[in-house]
Amino acid sequence: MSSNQDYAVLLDGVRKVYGKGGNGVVALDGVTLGLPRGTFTAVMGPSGSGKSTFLHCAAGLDRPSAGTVWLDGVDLGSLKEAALTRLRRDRIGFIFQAFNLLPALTVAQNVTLPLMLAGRKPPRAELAEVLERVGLTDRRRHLPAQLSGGQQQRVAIARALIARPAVIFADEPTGALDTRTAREILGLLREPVRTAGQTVVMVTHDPVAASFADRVVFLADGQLVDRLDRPTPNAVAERMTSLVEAPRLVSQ
Amino acid sequence: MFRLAFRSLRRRTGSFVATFIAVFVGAMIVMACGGLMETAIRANVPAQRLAAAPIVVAGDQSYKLTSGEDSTTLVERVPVSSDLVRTIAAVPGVARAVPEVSFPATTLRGDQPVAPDAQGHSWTSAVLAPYHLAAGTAPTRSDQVVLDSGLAARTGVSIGQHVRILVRGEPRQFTVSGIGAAPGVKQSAIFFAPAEATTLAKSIDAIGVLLRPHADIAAVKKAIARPGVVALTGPDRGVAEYPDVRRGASDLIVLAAVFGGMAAAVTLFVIVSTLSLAARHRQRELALLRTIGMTPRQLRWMVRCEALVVAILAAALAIVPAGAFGHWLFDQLANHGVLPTVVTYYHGWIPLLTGLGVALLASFGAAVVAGHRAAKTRPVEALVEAGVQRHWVSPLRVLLAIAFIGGGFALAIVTMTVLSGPIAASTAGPAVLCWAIGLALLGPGLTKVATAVLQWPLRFLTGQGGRLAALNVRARAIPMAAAVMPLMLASSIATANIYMQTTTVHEMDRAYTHSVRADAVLTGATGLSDQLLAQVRRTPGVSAAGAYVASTGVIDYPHASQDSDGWHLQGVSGSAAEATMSLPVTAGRLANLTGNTVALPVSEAHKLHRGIGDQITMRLGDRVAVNLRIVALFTAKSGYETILLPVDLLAAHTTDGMPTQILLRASPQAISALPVSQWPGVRVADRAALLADYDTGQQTGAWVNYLLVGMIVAYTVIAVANTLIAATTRRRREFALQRLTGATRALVLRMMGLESLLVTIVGLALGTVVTMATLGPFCWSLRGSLLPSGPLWIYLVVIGSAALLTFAATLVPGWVALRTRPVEAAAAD
Repeated sequence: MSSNQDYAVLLDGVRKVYGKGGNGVVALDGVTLGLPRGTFTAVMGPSGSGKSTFLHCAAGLDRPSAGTVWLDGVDLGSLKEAALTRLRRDRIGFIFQAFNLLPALTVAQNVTLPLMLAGRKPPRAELAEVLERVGLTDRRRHLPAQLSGGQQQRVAIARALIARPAVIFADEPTGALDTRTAREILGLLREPVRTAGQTVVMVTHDPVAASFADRVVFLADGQLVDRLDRPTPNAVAERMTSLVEAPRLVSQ
Repeated sequence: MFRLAFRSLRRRTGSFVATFIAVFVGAMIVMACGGLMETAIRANVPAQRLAAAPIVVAGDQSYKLTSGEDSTTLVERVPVSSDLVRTIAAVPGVARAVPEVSFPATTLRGDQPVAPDAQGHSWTSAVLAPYHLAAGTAPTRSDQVVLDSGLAARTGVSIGQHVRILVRGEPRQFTVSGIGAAPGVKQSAIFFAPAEATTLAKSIDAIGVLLRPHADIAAVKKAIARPGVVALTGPDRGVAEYPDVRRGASDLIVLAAVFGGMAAAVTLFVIVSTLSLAARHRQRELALLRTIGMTPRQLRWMVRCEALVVAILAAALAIVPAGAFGHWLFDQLANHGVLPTVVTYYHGWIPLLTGLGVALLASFGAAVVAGHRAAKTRPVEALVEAGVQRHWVSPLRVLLAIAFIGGGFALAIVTMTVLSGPIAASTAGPAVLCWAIGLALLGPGLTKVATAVLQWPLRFLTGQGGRLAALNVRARAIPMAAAVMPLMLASSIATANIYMQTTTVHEMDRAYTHSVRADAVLTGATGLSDQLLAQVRRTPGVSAAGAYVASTGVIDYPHASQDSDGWHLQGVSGSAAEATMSLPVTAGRLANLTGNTVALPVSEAHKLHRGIGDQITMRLGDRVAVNLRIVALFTAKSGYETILLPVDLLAAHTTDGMPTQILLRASPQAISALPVSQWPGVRVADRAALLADYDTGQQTGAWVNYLLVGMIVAYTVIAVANTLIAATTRRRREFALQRLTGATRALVLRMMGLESLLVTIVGLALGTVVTMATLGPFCWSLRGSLLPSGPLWIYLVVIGSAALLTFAATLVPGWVALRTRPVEAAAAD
């Protein structure tokens, strides 16, 4: 099993079927993929390609119908709900497109929430450092509603970083942001990969965002169809176009 | 976890307002009911006329039934023996033992009684108040009296003048020898010379014990103690002045317990519904917490803690108005004659603590349910658009539903087979709750089915709008059920209880009218004189006339199970009984009711294995046992049986010691020719008034029921409004989207209106089902029909107000939500 340890995330023949019997919908159809430690991977694909399901299964938010997922060397299928939650708390960080902060808590409280849930007292130094990194030191007492979209997303990144997780999952993190803010956010996501050897997995449909990653993998109809290392926005856009048009060619 | 809950609550007060109000009002009602109960148990009556006596010795009004463990509260004043006065006077430490006597008496102004509640006393007992002579001298001759200053002023007499006083139904002339005064005594009093008072009173009510200086009260009390009498001290002494306090108090204890229990159950129901709604509204947030590392267990505890923080706050604050509310309830009940107004409202910490405990327990129970549901939130829900909840059936839910509905069936069977008459009402309260909670557990499913059925007529009548509304309600069956269920609860509690009351009263009236055949009735302010009866009998056209008195007693021997309320006793005059009463006699003759005799319902005689000529022993209202020979048997409607005794025998064992009415059969001419003008205070009433008089007693019970049911319904209404307002406000975004896609404001409002209509119809239909399930068995056992008797408008009013409430609670917040520009509303959230 030594090979499992080399990957932050490893999926082996993962299938996910929604619904039962004849009218079940296959969202993931036998995906096998290893994401090495210290890398930044973007997952792309047209709508309905299974991007979100991929993220849910890889992060242990949803259980696959078949196949195995190892996260940081742990077989997720063997864990009960509470253990799975603890694993998420300790080794995974999440960043979503929206609705990702608790409106009732201040910036500082939102950021330290995972530590609080783990029953740890949030160390002041770590909080200061992580807020410094996302540039929100002077906003620690604000409520989410008092912040702009970009600032809210930076709070979410700080929250994902504070527990020093092995893997950070991001679901369309720039989807609701303007181009300039999006670049700042992607830069922030890039950083822990470079400096701390953490792993980042990002689902996106934006070729520019994807170009910040070390590698892009493409999904279509629940299957892994392509990959691209050291991507540029143009190259990504080209592959995407071919993916979207491919089924049309077949049908003709 | 408490810290997180606290922080979260501080910022999100809005969504907890509903829960706060539910707990606050629920706790307040339970506390107030507890206050009523404590007041009734303590039955504190400040001593007035006996205030100067540190110890008051009175007859023991509580009597343990020979046929079991139950005790009954005797309704008539239990006298004390005159020997006891001497015995107590001899107890060391006692300075004086003063007998207190009382009898009905009032002064007359012209021919009008001045104070119908006035009482005649002996001047010897004036010292017990203490009354002092404000002017004049004490009464020594039999034609002298002392009036209290208030009564003298109202009568318009002063010292030395003549005054006419109605004593025991007979007007007599007296001379005012003095004016008495006692601060703090409200009741009017007329003091007679000791010898005269003793003749008039016939028995001793109580003994006021005056102590020597430095005497030990406890020791004296212990020395006095003996079976059949009670030595009262402190706030208990007033009971000796007002013996009917005890009876009213024991009624109030039951009443307070029943409604307190009902309020507690409704509180649980309402809190569960508001908490679940609050949890559903923040499902996305809960899912987010799950994603970033909150375990289901932690989530469960967070929801519980939040609920408990709110509940503790609300229940603790409820203590503030609970006292005033309880006092207000008590005043209403006292003013309507449930128990004498002389009782003082009092609650200590026990009702408050009970209310607090009940509210917290209900909240915790509700929080466990809500937390259980919340813990099932899957983390993925944070990432996808919040969908419509589809699953609601869980094994526990189905099991509970079966248990509650089974309970409803069991109660129905018990009501129909075991119970009869007015007692049948006792199962109805729990039955309403059983059915309502059982159906509520199946709420979402029932809502779905009912909407599916209703959508066809709705579509037919309203076209596309109705179709859309029906689809909406069906898709949102679970949140809709949260509005439908309280509506069902409120309407079923209201209709079931009110119709139960009207049916009971109606049946009692009917039983009473059927048993009395008299054409007219005479009543007197201080009783009726024998001379009057003789005159009435001599009046041409009067075919029969007989005195009448009602009381309560129990059968001592033979032993048989009996209601601890005792038997309803009617004292009739044997010679007139057959003419004025219309009981179907099956054996013997009512005319033989003279001396120590009794007439029994056939069913009871059968139960006792006794027949005509056999003896039974009865314990009458004043604790005296009498051996009676059975002279007649009659059939009576089950549940409304009474026992008939000769009026002379029964009247002697009542507090006033005399008949209260004269029943007569006579032609209309004869009735108008009755010699009542020479008898002040005597009133002639026809048959209708006879029933009306009887009805006032029933109306008291009805009114009490309306008040308490109204209180619980008002509480449920708050829950309905809460739910609907929260649900509508929550859908702002949805409405905005509908407008962005081309719906006008009017169209959206119309659709909301149709949704309200659906919610109302489904809620009321289910409420009617619950009502029928409760009333059916009750009415069956009471009157052999499944339908209640009572005016239809009550049902219409309940339905109308429920519909109005639903529409107001949906359309007003809906209209407010629609005032925002659709783009802003859609962007928000």
